[in-house]
Amino acid sequence: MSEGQQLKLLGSVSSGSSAGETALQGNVAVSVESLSLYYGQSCALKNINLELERRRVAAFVGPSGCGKSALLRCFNRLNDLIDDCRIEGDVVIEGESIYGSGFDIPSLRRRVGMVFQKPNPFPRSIYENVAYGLRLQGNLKRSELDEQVESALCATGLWDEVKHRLKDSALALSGGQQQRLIIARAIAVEPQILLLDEPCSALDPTATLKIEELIYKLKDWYTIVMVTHNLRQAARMSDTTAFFYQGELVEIGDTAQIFREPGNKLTEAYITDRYGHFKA
Amino acid sequence: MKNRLKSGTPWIWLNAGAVAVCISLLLVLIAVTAVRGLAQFWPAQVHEMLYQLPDGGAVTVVGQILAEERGRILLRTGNRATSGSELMWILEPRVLQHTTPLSMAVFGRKEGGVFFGKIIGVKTSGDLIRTRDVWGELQARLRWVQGVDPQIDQGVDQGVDQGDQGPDRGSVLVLVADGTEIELPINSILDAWQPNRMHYSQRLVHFFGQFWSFIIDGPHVDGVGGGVYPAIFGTVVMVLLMTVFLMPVGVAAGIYLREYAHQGWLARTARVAVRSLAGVPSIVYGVFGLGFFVYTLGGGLDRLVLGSGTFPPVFGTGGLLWASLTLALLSLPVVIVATEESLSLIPRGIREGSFALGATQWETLRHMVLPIAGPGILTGLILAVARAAGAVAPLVLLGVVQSAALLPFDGTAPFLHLERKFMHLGFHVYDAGFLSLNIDATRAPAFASAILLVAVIFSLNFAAIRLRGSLRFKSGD
Repeated sequence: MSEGQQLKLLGSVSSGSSAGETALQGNVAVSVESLSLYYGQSCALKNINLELERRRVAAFVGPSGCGKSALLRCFNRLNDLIDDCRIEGDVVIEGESIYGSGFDIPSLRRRVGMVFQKPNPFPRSIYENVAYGLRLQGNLKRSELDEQVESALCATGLWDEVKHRLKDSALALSGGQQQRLIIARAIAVEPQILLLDEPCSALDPTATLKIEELIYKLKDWYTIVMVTHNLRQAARMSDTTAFFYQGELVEIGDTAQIFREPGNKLTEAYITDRYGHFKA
Repeated sequence: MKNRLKSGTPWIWLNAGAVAVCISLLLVLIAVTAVRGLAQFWPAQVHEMLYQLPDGGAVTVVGQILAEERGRILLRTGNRATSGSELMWILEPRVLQHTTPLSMAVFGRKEGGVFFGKIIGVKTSGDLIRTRDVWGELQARLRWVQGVDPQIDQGVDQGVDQGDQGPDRGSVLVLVADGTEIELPINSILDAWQPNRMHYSQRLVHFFGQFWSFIIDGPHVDGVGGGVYPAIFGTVVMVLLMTVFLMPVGVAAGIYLREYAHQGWLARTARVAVRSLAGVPSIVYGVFGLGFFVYTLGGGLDRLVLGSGTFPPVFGTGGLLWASLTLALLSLPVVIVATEESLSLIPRGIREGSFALGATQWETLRHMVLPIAGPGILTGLILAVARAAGAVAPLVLLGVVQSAALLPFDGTAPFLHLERKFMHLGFHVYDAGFLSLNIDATRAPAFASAILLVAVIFSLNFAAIRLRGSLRFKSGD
């Protein structure tokens, strides 16, 4: 935490200059450079610049439709699935520009795992859900596969709950278990970065607590970027918080600082829960 | 009342009623067809009646009662060779005497339909055999004929009998209704039975025997009676061929339209076009098939291979290949639409989950989307094929015939003869039921063919559903 507190703002609103950012390259996992995103004619993200450090949790907060999920989906190029989506600018992940021409998207997605808002287990067995990504990577021996499935399930604390019914359908698990299974599925392929798109919004408080504990544990190995609507969760979990409003990055900084003394009135209005009364 | 409407109870009744109507109609359809089609195989009693003619005289008539209505009786008198007609209406009040003699026998013949009469004796080389058990002697000779005379069995393979009766095996002397004695060559007899003597269990055995020979035999030389084996065979081969053409193209097109095509105006236009094609009447496809496949492709092929002016044409005429291709074309829109619908039903989250793990679009399609959509696609395919299997209109233009001399599949290379004309149960129903000159005699076979067509389609469906079940099991792993 102390290290994080020493760091100043990692990015600032509409600061196009990248001179200062390169200095931090050594510890930067994700760097967003002048990124704009359009759905057809409408602009969903406007000229975003930010950097995220390795092995830390970053939280993206903001009202619905502010573009935070859209930005998250830029990191693994999942927006490419949307037909009329157009992107300007670049995202550099671990020193590699992911919007360069001829870029290998599947390999990017193996390095950048994702957990979705609504648990989306495949309609298969628990085992096959976790093994799916591993099988895609090539011919693993059955024993290696078993081992990796087990370690992924152990890491998410699901192993003891499901080890006797690995062949059962994943759809029979509870919502919280399903979400942990999705996390296990994502980390089974050993990504560097984990994207969490409102991972707890469909879960009850107990399941949420379990996921939060899990995220807290996982940040020792992974760079984690999470989108959340829950400000308390952002305050509890994250090292860095970024506030988005209407497609713009309003403010990004150390979580403790953002919540203690936000640098922007919009941020302040949002985190003090006065957003509803606030007209921008 | 308002509350009842609000609760939706009347709707439930309406919906349940609709289901009930559908099921009862289906059951009635099957029951009526089955009863009218299968009754002909039942060894009904043969009646002997003394019948008063309008001029005061009386004749003896012999036959099976097919129907009774308003004082009239429809009698199947058989003996077409001697009496000219196989059926006659008689007025019930004019029946003076009515018996069912035990010795009355029925003969199933290779041509000329059934024959009724009392056996007097069995002759070989012109001499009457002296034996007390005439019936036993006849049965022994029939077995002998069928055992040593492979022509009868081969008749099945050839579609029709060759007309060659083979060497003389003796004959049977029969007393018919008008008191004359008729000699029937044993070679010409398929089967003989005495229904008035039969127990219920014997009748049952006979019924199934007759039904079975209807299924496995070819039609008789004269086009009346006999079995429908070539038609069943033709139907099944055509349906399988059609599925082979239809499935890869239809599924691939559906996948492309939904998964790969850019969802712009072109894809939308293609989609609308495909859906409209599903509504084009089958006869239009038949005309198209005749013009395009038969005349253009087939004719072109003939000119290419055999040179121009060849007669008779080989491919430039209706045949199994063109009929299957046309029917495949006819069902193609349904399969494309079903494939697209099944694919679009897959939740977005599942695709995204697969992509997010680094799967390419092909891997997602192959390992995730198709296994889930597979059963739905197969359901569409089954429905489309079942629909097309019974379509007759286009076939009439495309090489279906009343009686095919050769099966489209046999032991001579290249085994599957795609250019051959073929028989089809659906057309057989139409032909026997509506084109026959002797409609009273062919009505029952038409019903029997109809029920067989339903049975064939049911069995093909059932096989496909079993297959789908096993696919579902695999994807659940």
